[in-house]
Amino acid sequence: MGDDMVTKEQLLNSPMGKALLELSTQVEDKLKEPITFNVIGGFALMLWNIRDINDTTDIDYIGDPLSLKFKELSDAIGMKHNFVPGWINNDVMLSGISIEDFEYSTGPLHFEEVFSIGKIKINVLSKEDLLRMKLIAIDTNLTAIAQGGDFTRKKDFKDILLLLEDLHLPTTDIRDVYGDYLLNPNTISVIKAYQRGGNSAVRDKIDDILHGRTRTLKPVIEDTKPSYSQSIFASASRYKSNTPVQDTSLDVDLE
Amino acid sequence: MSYNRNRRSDPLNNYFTNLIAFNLTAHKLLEAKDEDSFEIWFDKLRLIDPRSLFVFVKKNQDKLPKEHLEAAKWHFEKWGMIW
Repeated sequence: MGDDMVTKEQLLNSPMGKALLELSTQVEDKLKEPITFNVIGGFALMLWNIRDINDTTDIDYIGDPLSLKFKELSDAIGMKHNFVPGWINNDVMLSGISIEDFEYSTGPLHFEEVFSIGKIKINVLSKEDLLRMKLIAIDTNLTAIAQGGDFTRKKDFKDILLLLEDLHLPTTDIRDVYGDYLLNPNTISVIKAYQRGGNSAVRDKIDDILHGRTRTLKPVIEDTKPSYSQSIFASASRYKSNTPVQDTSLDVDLE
Repeated sequence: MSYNRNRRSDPLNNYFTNLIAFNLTAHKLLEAKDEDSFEIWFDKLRLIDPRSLFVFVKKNQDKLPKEHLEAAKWHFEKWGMIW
């Protein structure tokens, strides 16, 4: 277990830790083998001391669905501790996709063993991978708002800046390190907007994007720029082939 | 990260299940210590029931800090909900 993680005692003193402890006690006799949760999202950030323990809404994990019996038990205990039904979930794996399919879009995921609570074993996603997933989430949401809809990922910016600081990675290096996973030209500039002026700056920036007040310069060599759909497949195949490709897009704010 | 909204066959049952889930969580919105925390809980409640969220924010607008209320209104506007 890393020095910068929360301790087992800290977790067990939190509302979610207490619920997990009760759940582990209840399932102790019923589980023949330990159940392992490879956790991602807010719970993983909390374990890494990035997100406040009181701002953890649920436990998202990557892996097989829970048995109906376990789910019923966890929901009942969760309700008792003021957590919503499905507080332990693998909803991120939509429509029963495989872990391999999931990693196809996120890149390879690495988990570290944290600790066990009874027969419930918890592994946490690495900080590097958490950062990449957060960046992909913002990138995806920015692409979606172009077709209409809300920008729902404002909650990620503080986590991203804290992860960048923790990993000693300046925002200017994001594209070098994670550029293969970023398809939207505005992703980094929105993060920089948050860095400059917090959530209100993000709102202004998103409104600018929606109203066409922010544009992305096309690459200098027009012919080499693939279409957007080509970019998606190129990005995916880069991941598959593990071949780095130079990112030629330019991210420019017209302010 | 997400909330798997109850979509079983009985709409009335679904409504009450989501309402219970909403009420279990809604107080967190009022307790949010800063706008980042507010956004985390606002998004959680949005996934449970956006309509209840709109009503809850409107009802509790006097209890919310100005910047949190502004953030909420910004989202509602995007959803086409008139304040």
